[in-house]
Amino acid sequence: MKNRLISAVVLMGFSGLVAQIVLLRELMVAFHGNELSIGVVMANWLLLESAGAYFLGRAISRAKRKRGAFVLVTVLFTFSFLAAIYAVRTFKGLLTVVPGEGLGIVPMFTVSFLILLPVSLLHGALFTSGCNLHYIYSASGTPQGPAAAAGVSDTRSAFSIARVYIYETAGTILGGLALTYLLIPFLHSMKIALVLALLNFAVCALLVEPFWRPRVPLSARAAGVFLFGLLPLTAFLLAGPGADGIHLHSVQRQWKSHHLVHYQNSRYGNIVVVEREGEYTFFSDGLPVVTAPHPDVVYVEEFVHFPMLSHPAPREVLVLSGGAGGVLREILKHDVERVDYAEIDPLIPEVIQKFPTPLTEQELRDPRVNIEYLDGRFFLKRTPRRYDVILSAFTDPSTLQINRFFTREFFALAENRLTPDGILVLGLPGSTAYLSREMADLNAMVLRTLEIVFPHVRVIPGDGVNFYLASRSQGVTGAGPADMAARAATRGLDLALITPGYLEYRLHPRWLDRFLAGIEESAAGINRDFKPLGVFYSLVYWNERFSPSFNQVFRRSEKIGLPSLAGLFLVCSLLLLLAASRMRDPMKPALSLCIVSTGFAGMLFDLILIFAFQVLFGYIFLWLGLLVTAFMAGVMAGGLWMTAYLKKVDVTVPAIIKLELGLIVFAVLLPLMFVKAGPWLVHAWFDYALRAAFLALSFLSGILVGAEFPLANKEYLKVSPSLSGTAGLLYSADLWGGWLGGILGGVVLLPVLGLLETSLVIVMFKISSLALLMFAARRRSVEAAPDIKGIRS
Amino acid sequence: MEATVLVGRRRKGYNGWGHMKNTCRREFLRDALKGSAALLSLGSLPFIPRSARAMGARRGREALFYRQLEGTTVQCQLCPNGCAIPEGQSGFCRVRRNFGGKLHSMVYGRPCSVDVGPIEKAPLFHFLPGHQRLCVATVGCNLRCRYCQNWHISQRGPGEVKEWDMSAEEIVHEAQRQGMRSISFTYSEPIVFYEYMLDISQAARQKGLKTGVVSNGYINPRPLRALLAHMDAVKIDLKAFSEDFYADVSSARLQPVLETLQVLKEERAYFEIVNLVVPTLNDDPGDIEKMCVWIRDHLGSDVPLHFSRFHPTYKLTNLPATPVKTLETAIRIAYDSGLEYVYIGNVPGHRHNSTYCPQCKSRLIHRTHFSVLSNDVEKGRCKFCGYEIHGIWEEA
Repeated sequence: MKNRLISAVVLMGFSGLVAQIVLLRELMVAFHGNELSIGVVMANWLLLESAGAYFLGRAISRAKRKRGAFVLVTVLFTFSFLAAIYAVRTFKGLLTVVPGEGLGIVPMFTVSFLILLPVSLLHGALFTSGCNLHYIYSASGTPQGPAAAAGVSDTRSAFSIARVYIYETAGTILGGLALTYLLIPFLHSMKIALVLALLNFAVCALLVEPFWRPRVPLSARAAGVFLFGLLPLTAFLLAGPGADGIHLHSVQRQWKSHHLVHYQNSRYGNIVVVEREGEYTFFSDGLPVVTAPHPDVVYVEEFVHFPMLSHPAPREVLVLSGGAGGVLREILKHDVERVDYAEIDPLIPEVIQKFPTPLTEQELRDPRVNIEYLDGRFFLKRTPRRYDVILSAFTDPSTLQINRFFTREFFALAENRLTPDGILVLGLPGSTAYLSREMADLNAMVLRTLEIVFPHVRVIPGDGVNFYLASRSQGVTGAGPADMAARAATRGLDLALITPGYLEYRLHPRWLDRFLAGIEESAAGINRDFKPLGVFYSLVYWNERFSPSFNQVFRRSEKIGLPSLAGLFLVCSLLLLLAASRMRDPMKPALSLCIVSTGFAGMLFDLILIFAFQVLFGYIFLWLGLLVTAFMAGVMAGGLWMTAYLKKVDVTVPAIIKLELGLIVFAVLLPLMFVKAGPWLVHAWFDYALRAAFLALSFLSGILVGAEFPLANKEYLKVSPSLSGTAGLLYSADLWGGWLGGILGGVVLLPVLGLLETSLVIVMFKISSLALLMFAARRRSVEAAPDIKGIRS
Repeated sequence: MEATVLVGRRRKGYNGWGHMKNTCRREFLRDALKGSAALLSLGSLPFIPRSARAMGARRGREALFYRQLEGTTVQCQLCPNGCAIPEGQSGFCRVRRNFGGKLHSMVYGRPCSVDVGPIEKAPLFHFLPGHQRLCVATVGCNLRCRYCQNWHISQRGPGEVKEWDMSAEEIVHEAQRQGMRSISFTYSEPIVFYEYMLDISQAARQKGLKTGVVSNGYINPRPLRALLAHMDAVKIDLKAFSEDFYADVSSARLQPVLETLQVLKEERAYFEIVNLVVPTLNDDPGDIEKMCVWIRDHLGSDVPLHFSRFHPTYKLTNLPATPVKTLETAIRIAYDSGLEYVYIGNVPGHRHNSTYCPQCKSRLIHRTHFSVLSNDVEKGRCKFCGYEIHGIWEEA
């Protein structure tokens, strides 16, 4: 039974990660693919899971038939996962009156909360219940180490919790790998959920008592029959047309009133193609990115011809994203020799070629066009070429990933890859009618960042998009409407939008004057790789559309600085110490706070490593899985290491203190090495060494995070006899910390404070928890030493 | 006429936080019931014109077209929303506020946008083609369109964006200084800055400038008639020919817009109609045909009609752009219904950016997007066959 239980716990970790990622991706399509939506969904998941572990998990552990309860919760979890996928795809039809309407942060929060509610609540409960079961069944098994042999309950309980924690982590690692390399590339979400169902039902069938044996209670017999019945049913659905039927039905409802011709998930995201009266629209994560054969003429002509006509003779051109569907065609109207085109999601040009239109065929088959299926920044870093014009088609730095195309470091790289007369062009949201404060901040930030790198920056404010033309040469600002019109005539361009009169109107100095006056008051700073302010301003700007009143919160968080945070931590720590001094044994809150801050640190280490990798190497996709896996493997190794340690030693507080100190040192050292690493990356050996270092660091941070959990459990059990209570509480403390780290770190801390200062926030948090822990330990050694001895013997 | 409009929906006072509120049919019915009950109990008070006088910058100036309800509550009678506004609160448009029982326009003399653009951007294609006009806007709007292009100002209230003081005379002076031929009230919804628009128009006319308004047409007939006395050209956004679309996408009703169009016809005002075609929401060929037939029968076949291409904006971000074929189908339906001047907007370079003579089919005004490349309308007639072209043309 014990082995069957272990496989159930491993599967629980596996299912948890798969469900979490699949639902996150599905929700990203329903919402917008920005950093905030990722943060909100992850936060809800962790919050609900911790509530499940603490409340539901404890309730289940009190049930009479614990194994039956575990099986029941697993089955319910499986069903709720399937239902959740269906709900994500169909809720918009119920919630919004208008198809195609985007959602703000409030409905985003509520919807993801409600949809995730059953799934993550049930999954959280499984952890606590699993610990409890493990405890029961390991009792009948072999003795677990000297302490367990002595029959001391707190050690054996701690041991069970640690084991379950480790098995679950192992499952999570497997889940991450399987999802990235096996499930997502080949199966749609419904099939993934059914595979998960099949595995879970199979393991549950092993857990229930064999229904054919005599003396099995009727209810258990019924449950067994039910489970064994579910197995072939699920398999039939999975193998037959059933799964595809449900999938198509739900997808069709998600895209109701559209004629869906293509639906594909890749490692990078979700791509949907909709056909309407001969017009193909390509959606990436729910947002339209390409329309063919009739693009938005105003955008493509302005984006391409403003820079191309500002340049005396553009021959070599690079397009970073957004090339197919109009932009390439406009570039090819000029006398160019070569156009390199790199798309952030390599699947986009591939799918475009599956639905040929005259426009895209002409563009992508042109011998001068060279498609690079690579991240643009990565490509730019590696290419030996120099370009006359670089067009960067990202218009909104709404994620950490896209923000890499708006930073000082990226601009410096682009400047280096331009010919002396070369021009970098990019766009940002704009409006000639009125420049709102949010728009002004976003625009001011990019302009100021560009001006650090480029001596000449020309802004062409527009209705919808403001264009920025940056160059080393004065020529970019020198070309007036008449010069540009003359070039268009000389080059014999056949243009639909741009006429001499239109140029006169669009390039009139009044727009620039108004624009500059509009951004004058903005206090926006510089956007850097390791301080990605752009993400923050972009989120504030996005939110302005849906819930402007909520932006007060953003405005306050913009002013967050390290000194004020330090003050906050100091005051909180003092208050906590004051409260602790009135308690007889403040060990419980001290341990909980340690676990919260460790969960916080763990999530932020993860975020920092992923983010730094992306910045330094320019891409992340395949490595995302590897880095997370290395981290989780570290967590498991840390857990194993401490479990082994627990068998030998009984005094845990000094070890926890050492770990806390280790985390602090790690947090201080981690960012330093990234900040200095950038310039070295030109050497190949350093490149490989750094990749290895990233894996090692992920693993190491995992060890530090994972090692604390078993220790804290053991210590906690000394003062609290309830196993499920302790497991539930500390597990949810861990998740709460992760929640804090995820939502604060991704949306506010990293963007506003940057990498270095965010690490210092971890340090401050850790110092608070360490101070409380040391205080609790000291009090105990002074006052309650005999009590502890009593328990120990 | 007035009574039927008033029985419609009464908006609750707007307090600055409720703009996420969704209007559903239930709410509509409830509000309509409340509205009729209030009317029955109070009876209609006669409309008393009030002399507009300056009340200082912060309170704007006293509004036209409102009436007292019980206590200090007033009812705004400017637009079909007919908001009952308690003291200290604003109407649905955010800019008309009750101060001690008197309704004030908070945006009088407080523009947030004054700039220059071609008249084709309005779009008004038969109104002195190719001329530049001064565009004036304040914050506020009486609708809540999910695809508003100027939401930065239309969905904001006074004080929420940068505004400045500029009297009607100063606006006119600015237009003259920049050599403009007309002044347009545009971007957000000019109806909500009615008093300001009225004063600027009067002053502009005196200085020989023409005037134009770009509006959703959501206004009551009486203020509309008073405005038209000072307005040369009107562009009405007829968003769809379905009540459902108006309710779901714009939080409004279709019927008052149709009434506005009929009043424009009665008053012999010059106007053009724009219909932004949004895929899946209002692109049903049957509805488009009904709309075209209605225009022909009630407004005449010479009213210019623009079908504009939709691109994802504001909250409507998860929809495709309108297929060009849909617009071409719409054009065909309109011509088949007998309309004479039909255009495709937001597709620069399309041949239906241009004006064609209804009689000899020659291309009269060659346009691409906002640019006029040639104009063969002479003294309001087709240069080739002499057919009279509806519009406002150069006299020389």
